[in-house]
Amino acid sequence: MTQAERCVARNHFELFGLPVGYDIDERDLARRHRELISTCHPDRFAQASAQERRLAVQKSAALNEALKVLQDPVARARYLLELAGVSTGEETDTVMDPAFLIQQMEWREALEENRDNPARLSSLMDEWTAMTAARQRELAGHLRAGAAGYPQARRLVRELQFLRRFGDELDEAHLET
Amino acid sequence: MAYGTKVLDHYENPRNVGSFDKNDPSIGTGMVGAPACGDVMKLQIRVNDEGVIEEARFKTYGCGSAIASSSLLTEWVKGKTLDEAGQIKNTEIAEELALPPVKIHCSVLAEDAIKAAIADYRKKSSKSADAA
Amino acid sequence: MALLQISEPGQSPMPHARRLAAGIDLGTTNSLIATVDGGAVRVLADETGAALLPSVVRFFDSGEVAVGSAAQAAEIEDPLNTIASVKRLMGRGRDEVGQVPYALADSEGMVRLKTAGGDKTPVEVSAHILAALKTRAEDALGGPLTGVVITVPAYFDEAQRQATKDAARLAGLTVLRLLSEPTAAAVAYGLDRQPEGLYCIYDLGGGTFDVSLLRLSQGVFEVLATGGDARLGGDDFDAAVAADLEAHGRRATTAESARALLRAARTAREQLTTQETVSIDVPGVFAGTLSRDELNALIDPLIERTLAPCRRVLKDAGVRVADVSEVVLVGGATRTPRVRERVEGLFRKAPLNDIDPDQVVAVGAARQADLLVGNAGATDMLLLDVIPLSLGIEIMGGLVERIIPRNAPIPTTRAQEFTTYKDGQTALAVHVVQGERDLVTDCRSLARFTLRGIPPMAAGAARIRVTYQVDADGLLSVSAQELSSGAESEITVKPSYGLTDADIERMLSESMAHAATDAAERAWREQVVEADRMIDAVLAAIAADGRLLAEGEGEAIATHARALRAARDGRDVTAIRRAIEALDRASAAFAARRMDEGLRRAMAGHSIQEFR
Repeated sequence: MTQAERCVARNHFELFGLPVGYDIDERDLARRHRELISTCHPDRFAQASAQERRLAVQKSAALNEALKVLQDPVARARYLLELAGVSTGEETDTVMDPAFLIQQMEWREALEENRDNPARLSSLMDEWTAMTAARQRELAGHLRAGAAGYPQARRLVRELQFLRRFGDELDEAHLET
Repeated sequence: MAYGTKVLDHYENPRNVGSFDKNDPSIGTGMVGAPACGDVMKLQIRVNDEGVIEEARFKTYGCGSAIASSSLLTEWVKGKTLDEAGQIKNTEIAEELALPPVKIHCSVLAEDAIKAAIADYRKKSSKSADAA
Repeated sequence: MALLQISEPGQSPMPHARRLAAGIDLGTTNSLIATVDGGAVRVLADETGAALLPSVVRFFDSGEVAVGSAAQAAEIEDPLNTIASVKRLMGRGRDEVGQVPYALADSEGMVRLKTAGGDKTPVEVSAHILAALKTRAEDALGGPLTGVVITVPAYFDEAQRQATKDAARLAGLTVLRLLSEPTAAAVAYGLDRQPEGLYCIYDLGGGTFDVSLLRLSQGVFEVLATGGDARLGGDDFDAAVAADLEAHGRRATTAESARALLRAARTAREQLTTQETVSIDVPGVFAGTLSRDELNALIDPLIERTLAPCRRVLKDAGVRVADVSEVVLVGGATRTPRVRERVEGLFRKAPLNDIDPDQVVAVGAARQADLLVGNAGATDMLLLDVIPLSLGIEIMGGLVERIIPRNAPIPTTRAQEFTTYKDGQTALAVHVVQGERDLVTDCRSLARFTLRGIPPMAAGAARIRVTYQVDADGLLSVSAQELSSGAESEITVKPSYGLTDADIERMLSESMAHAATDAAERAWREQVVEADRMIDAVLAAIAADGRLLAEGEGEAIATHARALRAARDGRDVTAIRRAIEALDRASAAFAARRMDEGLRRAMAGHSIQEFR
């Protein structure tokens, strides 16, 4: 396990040779990931010793983990806040804006009542898409503003978690109809 | 891990699901959310003139542990005074349901929900007392 | 250079010797083996010229075994000892397999079949098929195989993959990689030589259905999403036809007539590929005709069941139908015209089908095997896979906590922290399951891991980090460490539907193929091979990157390498294993630095390219 921790990069951005920041070109990121994993994928060590094969698995897993965090806007934002010492407190802090929670509850009730109503499902999907896009834009703005934007960014990351969860449920409902 | 089947039972047969009219002065409503799972929980209590919780209802959109935590809580608070209900700790819920560390936040959510419901009821009743 | 003196003449591997490698399609109905020969892929045939080896094994009370068409010929006469479609039973428990036409032994864990030759697990049955293919290849190629790539349905869960790998081990094969069948098919079509694109592989075999969406970019194939149904295939088409024939005739009451009916159903379906109507005669059951339209009506609901996973895969990958560059058909059941029509209807594009759908998977596997053994001239491609089903652990007696979501790229690791519930608790159990549902009973149980050796502490004080690792084959391993003391926990694994190492050892020593060499001999040989590999790797590493050695590190490595060389020449297995572990510890940091250096170089090359 010690080898896995002895990694060249101090953070996920550095691992991909990218500056620490919210703005990322997703295609470029994917290309960097492919190039890096091409050098350390276990298939490149199929004839190597058990030690090298084990390392190859660990390095590839680390690259996959870093990609997962960086390619997702919310995970990337959370990670940036974490690097800046700001915890999003998603496990412990249940205080949310009441209006936001009421709206979330309403969406969930609407979904529950309209599972067989494709028209209402797609209007919910539209609302969800619009709200998610707006919050992600806002999140990007606050993170570009540096430390001053962190409190708002923290709130948005937390809210976007609810949106993601609802989005997954909407998708499931869509697939069922 | 010798866990009981309590969680599963509360998850499969949740007690006291539903809602009350939130504008009724005898009703207190608590609304909380757990970002970790994107769970939303609404907990309502009906309080009589002696300040005893007569009934509790909940609506939780979330994972099994959150549903089980809120279901258990509605059973516990029934017949308790507001002060007694406000003393319930998330650790008691976690212990009763044997929640693993990764799911402790669900019990935190339930504790916060009852606190919020009590606060809402008190705010309402002090307002109506002022009006009288 | 004192370091190099431990390498003796003739010990270093010959870099230019062509290694023999093969790709194996271990199919439900038929199996194949192929190899790359002179730059072209050759599917190896048996002495009669048949490439397809029917995946059928017959066990005799003498202990002898027949494999392939010889076994298949006895299916009707000796149904209970003649095992077909065993792939459907791989990694499955008795309660999971449903109706099978064989006698099942009472057993926990993986199902066991009662045969004249004794109780057999599906792993052992598959091992006989693999051993037959191994013999075929080694006879044809004139030497031992260095390694093989075996294909599995992308949708195979961990237990099924592990069972496949165990079967290979029993057959004496070295598995370079378990490759998903759709990826192999894409490679066979040479899609890796295209510049870029999104490819959908629709694979309807005898017993399983798989659909995968692959993205190709710069020689790297990535599985974006995969789905399917591990219990749906052409056999079900035949069963539907057979049930319809029975409904219009009489029930088949004996095992023999049931098999004859199924065979007639399959023949009819195959003939309806080119004919509009066929006549069928199964004595005592049905006599009459079946038209293609009637067939289509019977199989349409089954085909529909394949289209839903296609839609889900597109959705999972966030891709629209119009984005798909090509659709590739794999598996014998895709010869059925109705399947092609429905697939074309969904994707609005004619699917590719010019490589024999029965051979396409083995062809791709052979190319990958050739690449993995390092043969020169192999196309430099990289196949990146995903985990097909979410991994989770059981919490609170029945609920599932997801730890690795489906379609996560592999290899992958995930760590979780646990604590103890009781004072002085020194053990912890983790039940790992696979599936998408919230209840453990709706998922597949993979294994129970028991962690021991937690230092005794007050309840809640111990912090145990459990690390789940899924390798490139989709196989899971679990490790655990107590964080405050740093103590590694000892882990015992009890696979729910798999074999333990002890089971495999026992089977190896029992099996006919290994009767001559006892288990100790084999264990010794395995350690010697690993010792040689390790010494060669360390020497090559020092020669290439000696500048990355820390002060005194080279000397320490050399000392341990010499000790390993000495141990390797002895007969003491434990001594060799210990010496390997010692050299591993001494050189691990250096090996990690080299890999990081490789990454840094790749990154640097990237920046320069960008600069231009």
